[in-house]
Amino acid sequence: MSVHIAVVLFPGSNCELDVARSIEHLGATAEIVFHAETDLRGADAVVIPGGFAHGDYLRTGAIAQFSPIMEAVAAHARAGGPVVGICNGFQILTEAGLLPGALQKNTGLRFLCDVVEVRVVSTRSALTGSAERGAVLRIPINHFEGNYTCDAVTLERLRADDRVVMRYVDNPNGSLDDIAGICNEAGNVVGLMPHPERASEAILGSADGVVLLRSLLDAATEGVRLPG
Amino acid sequence: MRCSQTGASTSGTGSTSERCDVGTIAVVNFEARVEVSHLPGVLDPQGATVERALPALGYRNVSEIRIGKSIRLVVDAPDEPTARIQVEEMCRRLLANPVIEAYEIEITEAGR
Repeated sequence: MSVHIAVVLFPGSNCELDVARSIEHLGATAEIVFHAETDLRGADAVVIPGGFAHGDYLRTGAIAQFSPIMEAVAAHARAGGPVVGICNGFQILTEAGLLPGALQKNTGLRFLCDVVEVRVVSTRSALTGSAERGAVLRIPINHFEGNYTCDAVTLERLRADDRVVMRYVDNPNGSLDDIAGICNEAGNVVGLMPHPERASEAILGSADGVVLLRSLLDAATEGVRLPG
Repeated sequence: MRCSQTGASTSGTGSTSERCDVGTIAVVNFEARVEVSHLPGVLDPQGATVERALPALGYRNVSEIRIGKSIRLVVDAPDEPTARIQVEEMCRRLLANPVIEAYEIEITEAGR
């Protein structure tokens, strides 16, 4: 049986079909699950895609954290199942407390839509287990609130525990410590601002996101590779 | 919930406040005003834009503009401390993100 991935759809999500297509392109099955539902239908992994969930009202991800499906997502995460938040999905995971810190407005105060280079810093996450540490990937970004921030203690812990998953080569948004993505302690919950699904086929300009999506499918099959 | 005007003031100032009965506990409508602001160092594009616009209108002595959110709500509670505790909880859970935002709560009895 192939790996099955749930892609959560909130009102205002807009990357769910791209994510589903890029996953199916790699031979897995993807299922769009509406935010009002309460179970993930036996999915091996969950992706929270980008967009503007609930119109970004109040704050990005603030309302989405209380959608019914989020309890199932949190339960899946607690059980060690892979959960990946891309862009707005990353913002939702921080609001939901599944990842530390917050995403504030970009320095320069501009919405950024560009292809950037990110370096894989840690391979202990569900999104980078099959990537090479130090690999530089060209992946699109598309955000206004992508400037990662957290308190000094949290940053120290992220660094010490090898939880900074990827960093920008040339920081586009002012993100603390050039952080483009982080993971939780177990490595199964990952949030990143770049969109790997938009770099999943050569015709899109880059296929560098494939190694990340492939890692996710591997993690969903084998369980997250933990250090030691 | 049904509410009725009693004409009685809990503070004795003679103003009219609304009282509702939930079971046997009398509750009062409290109006809460929550001011959510960016923590120092958090970027505020609206504030920055307005700060650039005001000098263009001749106000060259303006600085440190910060634009936050003002949230108003009415809470039915038996007393002011109970209302405040509830609004505090709402702030922590939803209305503000403590990683990047600060909040201040002002509570008054509705109708005063």
